[in-house]
Amino acid sequence: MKLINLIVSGLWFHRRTHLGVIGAAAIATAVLTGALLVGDSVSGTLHQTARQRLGETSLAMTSGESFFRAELGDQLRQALKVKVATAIQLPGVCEHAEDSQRRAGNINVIGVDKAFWELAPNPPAGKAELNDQQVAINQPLADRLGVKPGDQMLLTVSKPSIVSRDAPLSRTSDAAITLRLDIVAIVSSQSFGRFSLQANQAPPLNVFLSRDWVAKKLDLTGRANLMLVGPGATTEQASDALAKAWSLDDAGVELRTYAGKTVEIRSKRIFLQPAIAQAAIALDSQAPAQGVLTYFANELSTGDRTTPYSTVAARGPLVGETGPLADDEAIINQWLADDLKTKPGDTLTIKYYVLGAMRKLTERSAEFKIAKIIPNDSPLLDPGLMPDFPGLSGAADCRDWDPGVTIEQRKIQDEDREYWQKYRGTPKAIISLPAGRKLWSNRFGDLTAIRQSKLTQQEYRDAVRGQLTPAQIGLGFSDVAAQANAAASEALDFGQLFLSLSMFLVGAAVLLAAMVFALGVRQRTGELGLMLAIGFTRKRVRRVVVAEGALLAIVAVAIGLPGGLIYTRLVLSGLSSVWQGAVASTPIDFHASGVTLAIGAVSSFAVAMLAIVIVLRKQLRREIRGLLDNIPPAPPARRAKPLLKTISFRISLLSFAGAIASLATIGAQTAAFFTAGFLLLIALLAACRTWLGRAGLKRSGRKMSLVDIALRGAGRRPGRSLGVIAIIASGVFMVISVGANQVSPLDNAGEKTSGTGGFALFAESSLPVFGDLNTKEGAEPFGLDEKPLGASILQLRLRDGDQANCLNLNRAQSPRIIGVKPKDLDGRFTFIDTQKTETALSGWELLNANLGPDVVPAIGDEATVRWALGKSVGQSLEFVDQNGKTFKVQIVAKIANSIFQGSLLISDKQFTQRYVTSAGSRVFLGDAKAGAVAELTKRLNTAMSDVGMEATGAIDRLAGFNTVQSTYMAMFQALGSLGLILGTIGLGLVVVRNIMERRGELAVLWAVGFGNSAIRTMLLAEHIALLVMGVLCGVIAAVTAAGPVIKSAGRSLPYGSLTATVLAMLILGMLWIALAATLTLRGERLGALRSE
Amino acid sequence: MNDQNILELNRVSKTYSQARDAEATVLSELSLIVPAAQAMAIVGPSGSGKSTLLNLIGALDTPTSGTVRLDGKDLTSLKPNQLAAIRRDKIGFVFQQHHLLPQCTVLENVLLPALAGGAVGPELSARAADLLGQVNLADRADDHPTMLSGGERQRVALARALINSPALLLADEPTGSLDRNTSESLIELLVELNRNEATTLIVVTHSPELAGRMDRVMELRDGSLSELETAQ
Repeated sequence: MKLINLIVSGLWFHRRTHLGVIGAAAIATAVLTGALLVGDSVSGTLHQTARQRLGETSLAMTSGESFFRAELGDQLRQALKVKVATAIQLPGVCEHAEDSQRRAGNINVIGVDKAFWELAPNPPAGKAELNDQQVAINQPLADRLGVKPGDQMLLTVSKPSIVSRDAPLSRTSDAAITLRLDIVAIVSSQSFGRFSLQANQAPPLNVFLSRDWVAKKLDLTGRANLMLVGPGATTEQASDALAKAWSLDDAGVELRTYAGKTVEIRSKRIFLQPAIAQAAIALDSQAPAQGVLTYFANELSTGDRTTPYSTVAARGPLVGETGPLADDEAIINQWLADDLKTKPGDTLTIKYYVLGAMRKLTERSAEFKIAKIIPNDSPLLDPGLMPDFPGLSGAADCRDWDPGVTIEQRKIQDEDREYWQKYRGTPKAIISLPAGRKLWSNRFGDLTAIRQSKLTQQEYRDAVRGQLTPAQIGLGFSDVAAQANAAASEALDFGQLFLSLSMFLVGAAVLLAAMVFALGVRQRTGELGLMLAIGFTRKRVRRVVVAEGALLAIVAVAIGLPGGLIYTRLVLSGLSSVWQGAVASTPIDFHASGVTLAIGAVSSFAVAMLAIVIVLRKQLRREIRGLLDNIPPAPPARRAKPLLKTISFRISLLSFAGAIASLATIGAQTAAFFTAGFLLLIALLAACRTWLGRAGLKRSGRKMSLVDIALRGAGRRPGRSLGVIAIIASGVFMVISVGANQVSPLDNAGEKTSGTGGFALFAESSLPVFGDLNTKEGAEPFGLDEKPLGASILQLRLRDGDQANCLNLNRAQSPRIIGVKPKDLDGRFTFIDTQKTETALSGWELLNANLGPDVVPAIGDEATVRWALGKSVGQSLEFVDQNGKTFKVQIVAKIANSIFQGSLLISDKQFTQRYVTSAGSRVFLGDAKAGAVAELTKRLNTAMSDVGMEATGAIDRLAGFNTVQSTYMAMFQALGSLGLILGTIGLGLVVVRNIMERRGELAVLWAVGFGNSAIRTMLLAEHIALLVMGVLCGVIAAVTAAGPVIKSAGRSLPYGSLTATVLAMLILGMLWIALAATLTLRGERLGALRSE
Repeated sequence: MNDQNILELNRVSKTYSQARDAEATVLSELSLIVPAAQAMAIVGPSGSGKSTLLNLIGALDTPTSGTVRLDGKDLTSLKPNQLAAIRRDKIGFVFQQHHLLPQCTVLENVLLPALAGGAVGPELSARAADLLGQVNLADRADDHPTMLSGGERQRVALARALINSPALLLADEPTGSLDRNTSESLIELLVELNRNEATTLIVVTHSPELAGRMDRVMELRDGSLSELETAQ
């Protein structure tokens, strides 16, 4: 006979007990592995989504509202010998051509060519190229609009303005165009239907058009703002190729030659970008240049004579302050001198508009002394000095002017029209460049042109280009494949999350396995004793039983792994139904990696073995005689210590004091109460331990009763009894306190300090809104009244990016940025963590903190900063501004649970400095009366549908975010409840074990005349007492932890579910106790009387 | 039944089912009459059915055939609750293992059978204390069983068996787990209690010393009882 025979026969003989061990350990394995596989599935789905949205794209270059030459893509394709596609990407809104109610905002309008589809994960079926007026849309959009191939749709697409809509004299009347399109295909996710550079959870709504056709419609023929590079080229290689191929034209810069000699560099954006101006300054030593800043004046006047609508040029050397004029002098042409009947020495007043926030025009004026009058055809004056003001430069007649400011036609006289027809935009007055800069410089620049006469046009072009890098004009590649990989890889680890949520369940299962195993070992004490008695060493006995345990654990793991796959499927099914809020309703596909299965298997095996070894170690410590006689170890003879000297009583006092102290000292209310509740739980458990210890040692004195004996029975094994109480109490505490502390978005939602900031409405538009909706001028274009429904609307800027909120499982790499004016939010929202600054700023004023060059202070929602970005206060993220310059956004504060979840907030000032041409508002916060919110929401959505306005109640938005949190809680509660069920089974096992240990005693009771029911009553009383104590401790501690809920007005404990949980626990526990007692008491008693 | 007889066994058999429909007969057509207040020992080789016979007498088991009459009542015709009442009121047990409840004090352990009959009044408490005095454990009444020696625990078990003043005291190998000195002391105690309390005593034992102190010794062999001559 070999040891293995002993092991195998032992396994077979005790198979019934072993089935219990295997069952419980298999549950633990299934839950543990299943939780990890949920992580695999979420991660796998995110990576799969990343592949779908990027296809073969590895690098991308986006230039936003600046458009480079589309042929730049061809140049790079030839240079890099990889797939390269250029496209136009713009925001839009669309609707069904026949039913305007079926509409969708936040549309990505993508103008593509054949090269784009070559980068798709799978080539689309059918013809890849789209003809004029044809459109292909992705499935989510088709579903939203309810359209199919053959239908028509209307698409309103943002028309990029070369001149920022925030720039002086820019227009908003042509901010968008609407196209009627034939739907020819629905593009699946596998065929690039999900194309997006943003790592967002929700699928984008994509519209694909012919790039050439849409470019033509947008007056952008031959231009693009997106370049995608396929695999095979590194960022460095692509950047090198770009550095060789780019031209000034890609920056919207053009050169003109005047009088065969003077070469001028100007920008299609009116104002030369600062980087270009810097390049020209750098060249000043080899080609001395003159700067030009030409502005549109509303009025030029001397005394009571006026001339309307004229251009005035500021001219002077680029370097140094000396020029032909002093800063308070002006030169005027003869025509103006005649019109104003003025002479040198008179004062010339120039009135002009400056454009404030939300295109608010403010008229200002400046006075100059007329220094000189020059001929109309002076070389100092020419029509080219006027930049191509939209709505002005192309007009044949003054009456055709349509600039971005109001033109009062009545002021324009015939002589003015004649001047325009003869001299076009030739300035009528010249002032010094410093004076002009002082009046008209803005965030877009301080020069409209630079002129020099030394270099030829080509030489100057080459020289300026040589001073610049593509990055300085906002061109550069990003490794989007790596970013997508990072977004998916660094995403919230659902494996860990589910493991945490399932921990109580895993713990309960492991404990159950240990208890069943302990029961099995207990049944075999005589066997173990015999082995020791006949000469086996303790080590050898341990080896036999551990080997049996290991085989059991292996079988459990073998059963548990497929169980894990089933558990994963069940959880995924939960995530697509009752728990869909946790994953923002995204379908999660099943993914399982061998490594995860191996980790699950090894960890489960290790945990099961650990439990087995601990149990065995305890049993084998016993005396051989005791084992041989199968007599349970008697509790050591103890004498009751004075209460004050017991350790458990001291622990209970300390914990209770800690609970009180934590309420008094910890700042965050919920945390304080939770800590207090937890400490109170320890105090109560310690008190139970004291009681159990003393109950076990109780002397006669009181009237003797069965229940009394039963309760004292609970104190016989205080450790075991306390274990039962602790499991039940911890489970009840966690399930109830977590449930009770679920945040309700309705709590104090009207308060300024709440997550809504006191705002009633939150809205976002797909296309920017340039005017102020609080004014008649701003509201009228949408058919709205000024301050619609009496609501005051706060308008904020938005820079698109990754949604950094709990609705996006990806780790946001480049979150959305909102520009706010700190004063507008003063006193709103609740700050939970702020960075100390040198100037002791607080609240929203922190956004104005000076943190050094290229460091922008930002404030974010707690969930955004902590979970979506994985950052904390003081840490920063890198961004690239519109001029290709890298800057840091440093988080200076966090606000609690707010409607701003998903974005970082920076000051409006910083926003416009970094994203110079970004114009208009896209985020709207409304102060409205509670009753008017629904009506206001409806009115805004309807009236502003052309800009894709999506307004919603601020509370609803907050509720949407809280859905995720609530779902996590629900998941925790569900899994915790399962753990509790296992815990109650454990209670049943304790009953079995206690009865088995006391079979002799119980048989004596029976022998001396106790009926079965009396014995059962005694056993039930003892164990139900443990159950009730556990539930009571859990409930009392949980109610303490739920203090904030009880304290706050308008909130209440979920009494219904709380009572249901407690009752379910009690009933289930009693059921197991009764079942265990009945089954165990059925055993043969006579044998027990002779020997246990 | 004669009023002087406390116990009558009439043609009692006990068989146990075994594998493959076979049956093992432990007791066969066995009859026995025990007068009140008699002290009797049942001896016999291991496996002869001594404990089985004691269990039948003590209403812990039922015979396959035949009748067991205790104090005039046929135990074979009683329901479990009635049997429990018989065990509580008429019978006292002393087992080889004492089976004391460790959570109860010595006094409470003695009172346990009384508790089976309902509330424990001061009279019973006084009797328990008295019994403890009789077994020389008066000063240990408030101690827990874990503080006692093996002999002391068995004496507590004896006091427990007598708390309800049973008509019949049954002892199954009461000295089996005790050393010689302790055994002698317990034997003395049993005999003394039998005399003082006028309780009928039936002892199953391997111990010749114990058997020798009884009024009557019966040997159980091959399923049948036969009376042995005693020294007395």
